[in-house]
Amino acid sequence: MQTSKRILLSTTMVPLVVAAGVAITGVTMTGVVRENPAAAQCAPKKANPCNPCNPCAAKNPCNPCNPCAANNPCNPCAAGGGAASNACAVPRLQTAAKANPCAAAKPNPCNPCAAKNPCNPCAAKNPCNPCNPCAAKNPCNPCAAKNPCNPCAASNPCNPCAAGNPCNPCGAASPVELTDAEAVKVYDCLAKELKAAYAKSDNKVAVTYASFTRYSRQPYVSGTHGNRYVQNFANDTGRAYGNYEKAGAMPAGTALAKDSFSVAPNGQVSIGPLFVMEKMNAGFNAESGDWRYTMIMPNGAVFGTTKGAGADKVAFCIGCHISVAPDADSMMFLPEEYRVSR
Amino acid sequence: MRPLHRVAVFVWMIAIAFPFPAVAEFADGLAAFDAGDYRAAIAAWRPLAESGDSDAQVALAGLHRAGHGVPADAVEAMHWYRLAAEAGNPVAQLNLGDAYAQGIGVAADPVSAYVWLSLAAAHGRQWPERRRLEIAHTMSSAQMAEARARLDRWRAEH
Repeated sequence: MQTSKRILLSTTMVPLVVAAGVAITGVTMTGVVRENPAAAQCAPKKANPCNPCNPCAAKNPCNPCNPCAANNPCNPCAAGGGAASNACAVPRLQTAAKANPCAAAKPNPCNPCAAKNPCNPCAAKNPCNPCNPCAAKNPCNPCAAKNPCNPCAASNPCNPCAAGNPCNPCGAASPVELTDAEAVKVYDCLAKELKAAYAKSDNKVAVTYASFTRYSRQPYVSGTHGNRYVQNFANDTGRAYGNYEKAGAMPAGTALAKDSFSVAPNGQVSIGPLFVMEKMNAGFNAESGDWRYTMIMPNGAVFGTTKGAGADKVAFCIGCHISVAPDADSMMFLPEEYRVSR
Repeated sequence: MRPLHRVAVFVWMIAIAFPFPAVAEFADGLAAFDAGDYRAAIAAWRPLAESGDSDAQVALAGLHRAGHGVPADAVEAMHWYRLAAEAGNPVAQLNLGDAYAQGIGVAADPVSAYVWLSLAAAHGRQWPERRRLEIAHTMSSAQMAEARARLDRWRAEH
């Protein structure tokens, strides 16, 4: 026993056991990282009639009677899902979607299930076939995961598919284009619902922002806020915001707010977050230029606020604003054509 | 070496040899949500929600309710709100209470609405306080008595 113990705890055995464990973990982890999502999705599920690989479902994925349609997140007919808004929608898109439900699918080039995507795993018999010409070309192709040089690999910091990468081609869905008149109509219809949704948070700015001065003529698409339609507001203390690039550093007490909504390809409208920036007294937080960032969810949740509870959760707001607008007191201004002259 | 020490050494060796895989942080999901990448947000939040993180449960409920990254499903949304509400999350409680008031994802039930909104209001929140007073006006005295009894039971148990 003593001999066995000596051997087990010897300076040779301990590193050996650790190394073996690390190697086994590495193999396991590599398996996790390299697991083929498409293959996993297509794993046989005998009991599941809604298996996306079900040949019956695949034949007509846009059949409104298809029992799999609702549950299949890759179903091109289900793209965009439902809407948070009870009353607001875009009639033109709704009509188009009714006429051709498949056309309403979001044109996400990385969506492996997109109907027009030639890499559609429902179309190919073996989407992970290394001979599949789509695999090599599409860096976000889930089948490319087997490639150790795959830029989508989790450990690659240059991964263009990383969720936090604003250039991520697989990230935010392309905005549905609305005419100016449609955007205004949606906003007018939605304004009450927006205010009611954000007010659930009890946040002071969320409750009062609608009475602030609006600096956008109409809703416009903000690429830095998830391609949502947004409008810009500033309170009285922040009226210099109307000078845009010439505004300079904003005084303490300034509150800026951006409400938002998104539109699905089928015309359904849903409420997005309220983005709030409040200029605090000097010394509040040098890292954020003394701005306090808060993102208020449509269900009233506030998951974090700078220098407050959950500050780490909204740290990405600071990083983005400082990098995009280092010379404009971290303020991102709207495109000139949408500005209101004050 | 004492048996306890042997166990400690063994546990230490196992812990070093088999580290737990990194779990996505809540902030990763929030950054993805901010960027409009709802599927990535769900991928980050779902494991956290399943492990009992009430912020992630509330966030996931919001996505299911709005149909962001998943087909809209009010019933699924209420499932996540309920888990977080029962754990004492006031945002989940007020949303679940509002859903009971409107019959969204659950059968309309003013008593349950009043109970959940009262619990959310007890955190000092004004919105659920206003909402529960609105609902109180529509309730019978029997319903109000039942709601108060349920609130008493909740407070005794939590």
